[in-house]
Amino acid sequence: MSIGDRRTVQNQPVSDCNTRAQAALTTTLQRPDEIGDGTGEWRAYTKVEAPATPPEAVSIHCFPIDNGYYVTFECAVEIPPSTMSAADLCTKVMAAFDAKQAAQSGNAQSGGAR
Amino acid sequence: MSERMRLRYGFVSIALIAAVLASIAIARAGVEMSTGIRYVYNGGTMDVCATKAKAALSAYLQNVSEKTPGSGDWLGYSKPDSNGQTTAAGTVRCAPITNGFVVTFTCAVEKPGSFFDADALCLNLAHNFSGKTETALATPTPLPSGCATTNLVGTWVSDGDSKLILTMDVNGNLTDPDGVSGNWYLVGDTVTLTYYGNKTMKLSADGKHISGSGAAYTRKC
Repeated sequence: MSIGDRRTVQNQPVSDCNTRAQAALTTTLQRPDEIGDGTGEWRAYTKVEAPATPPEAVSIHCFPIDNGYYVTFECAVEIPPSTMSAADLCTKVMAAFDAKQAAQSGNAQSGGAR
Repeated sequence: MSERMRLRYGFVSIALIAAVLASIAIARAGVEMSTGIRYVYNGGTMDVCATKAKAALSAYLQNVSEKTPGSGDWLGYSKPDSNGQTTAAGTVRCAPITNGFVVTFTCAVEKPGSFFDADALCLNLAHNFSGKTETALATPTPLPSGCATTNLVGTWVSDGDSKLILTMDVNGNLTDPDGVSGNWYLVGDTVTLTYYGNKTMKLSADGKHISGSGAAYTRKC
């Protein structure tokens, strides 16, 4: 398991974090679940065929602060079958979160509550 | 071999390979992650959060450490299992907000592998942190020991040859000092040993002796 970075983003609403989180997880793994509607707590697994258990998982937490938001990343992998470390997975997800196209895609789907 | 026969063997081979691959896929472990528990404290300090985070993780995990000193990001791992693998991990992350702090809990476990699930671990971490009631996590079923009459798990010494020691495990397997393997099966007091052929034997009332089919063993217990 790897603790990814934490970021504090100023002058942006938490909805920006949620959009980026969904897009980053969808790009890297598959469409995420929001753990409770409107919580800003996101989780996604690698897509696998049942009954296999997914070897990679990522969570992203979005939390509003005074004039922006605070976001953290955590990743976990099982090697094998995963070929990348948890730290590498977090790096990949954080890069996707930061990518401008992710923030501007605007077509991320809503996550379902667990 | 006719073309039809070749085709039929071809299908059988493909089916066997597919079955083997499927069994490998099913056996592979994966990750289960718990996220979503978040507390907001008004009036607390980051030092308080750090102290509680470390204590909560230490109650259930080991090698608890802060990612970098002062970061507020705490991580711990479960004890390695018999294969030396870590099957569970948890993070507690503290962040300052106006007049207090926010703390999140995230856990991951290996499935199969961990005896408890990620949600159970994270809930206990959060409850330890906040002082709520915690529930004991599932633990491995202890191996049977002693001279039970319900199983043959343990070490058995041949009454006729003290060097012949059979080790019987919880899965019904047995092995001898030469690495020859077999199986044991117990119904009531009737023992079936598959070891150089099938032997039907009787287990004594104290669970210490089995005998029959020209063999006898005494359990170390």
